Amino acid sequence: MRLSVVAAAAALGLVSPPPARAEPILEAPPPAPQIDQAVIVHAPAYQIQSFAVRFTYFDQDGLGYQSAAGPISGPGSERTTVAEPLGEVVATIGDRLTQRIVTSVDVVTAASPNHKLYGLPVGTPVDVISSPSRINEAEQIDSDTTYAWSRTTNFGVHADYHLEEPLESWGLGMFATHAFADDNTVLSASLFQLVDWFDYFHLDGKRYGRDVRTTTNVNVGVTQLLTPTTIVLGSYGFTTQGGTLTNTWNSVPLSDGTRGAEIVPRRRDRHALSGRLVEWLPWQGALRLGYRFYADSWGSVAHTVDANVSQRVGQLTLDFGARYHRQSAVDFFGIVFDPAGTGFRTADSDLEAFTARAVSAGARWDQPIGHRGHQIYFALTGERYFRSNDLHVDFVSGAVGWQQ
Amino acid sequence: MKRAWTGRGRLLLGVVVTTLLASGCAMVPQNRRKHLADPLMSADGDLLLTAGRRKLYTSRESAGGGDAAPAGGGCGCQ
Repeated sequence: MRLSVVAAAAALGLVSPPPARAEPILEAPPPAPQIDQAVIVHAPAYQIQSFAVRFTYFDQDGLGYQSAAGPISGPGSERTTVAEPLGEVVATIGDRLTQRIVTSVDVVTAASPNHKLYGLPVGTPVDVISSPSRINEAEQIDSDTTYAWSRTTNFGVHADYHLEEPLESWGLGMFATHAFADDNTVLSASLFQLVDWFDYFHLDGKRYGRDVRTTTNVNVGVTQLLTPTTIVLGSYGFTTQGGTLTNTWNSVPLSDGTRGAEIVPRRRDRHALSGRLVEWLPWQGALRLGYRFYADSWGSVAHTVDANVSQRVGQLTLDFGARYHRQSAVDFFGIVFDPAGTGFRTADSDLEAFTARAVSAGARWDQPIGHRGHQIYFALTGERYFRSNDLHVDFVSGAVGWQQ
Repeated sequence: MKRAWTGRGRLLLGVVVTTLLASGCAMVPQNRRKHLADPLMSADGDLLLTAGRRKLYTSRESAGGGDAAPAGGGCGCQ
């Protein structure tokens, strides 16, 4: 049976029936498409995508010549602990904006050893030259806003603020990603600027006002799909720092049996080149291999390799990792200096030549909840980091999270 | 600095750039990316955990930063 458009529309109740008069029936224009508002999906104005809380505890012990918590001419204690709770929220705002906010609090013990402890044996409880060093709480908030310009291009803005008793830091940056070749290749670029504003403490504990350190960082990177199971990533980063680059309380042993202040250049340029390969393993696992080359204007060169394996067993994911790092000393490192010398000098064990190894293991349990694809997870990770120059750090980290 | 960028450093840079350019020819169709989209294939794993590790390495080694993050600054330890 064939109905005219008007009759069909009348049957559906969309138009009034034609008058019952013997007039020529004119073909009515087709009605405008009717849109069922109930089936249109609008992006919610604001929607939480995930949130997580994590607690990490660092326990460090070791010896370094920059620390005065030991014999005058020998290495002092680098014992410290850090307790760090943090939280993360990721939300979408409309169709194109994604907001990520991370807040953290670091509670640090013995941030700066007291130089009044000259001559006391290693292991003596570390006192302080300023109140921040007894227990130093540092708070930080990071914000990343990403705008989806198109299906293949994203722009973003990063901002952070860091506060601890002798230091404030502001960070601002921007980043962009662009995918092409049917999303097989993604290029990324970022630019960050940090400004640190802090108290300048001399070794005698006196405060010499405020000082500034600036850090500018540029990164470019590429991500490439190689095969249906392989991804490779490469990146280069350049960082230039200016201003007071010492932490102001590091000291160096002098040949006359006393200690003097660390003196370092007021500029440092740092280059880092890294590559990473991620390979899917056919037994529900993934392998990550990474290499990183580093060189800076202070003369330090470093090579770092790392490997990580993830294995899924039902709702449980196991992770095992290892890392090896080797670096050369900066040009002006030493463990004893001429008291009359005016050149650059440091005894900081972090700037010495050493090798560092780290091994880690972790587990994560994912538990689906409801029928909308939501899940909660629990994660626990432990790592031991140890260096060839007598320093080790153990850390354990646990997290609970929810995500869509 | 000069020592760092002569010889092996330049060779390494050349190898990496050449490898990345050559890999640009690879094409994986959309319908063969099931494994690539799995969360296990994330290059950095858990972002918060990675950030914690980076903080440890950056503060305890002279060779920090550069992995899409500044080297130094932003905390009282450097």
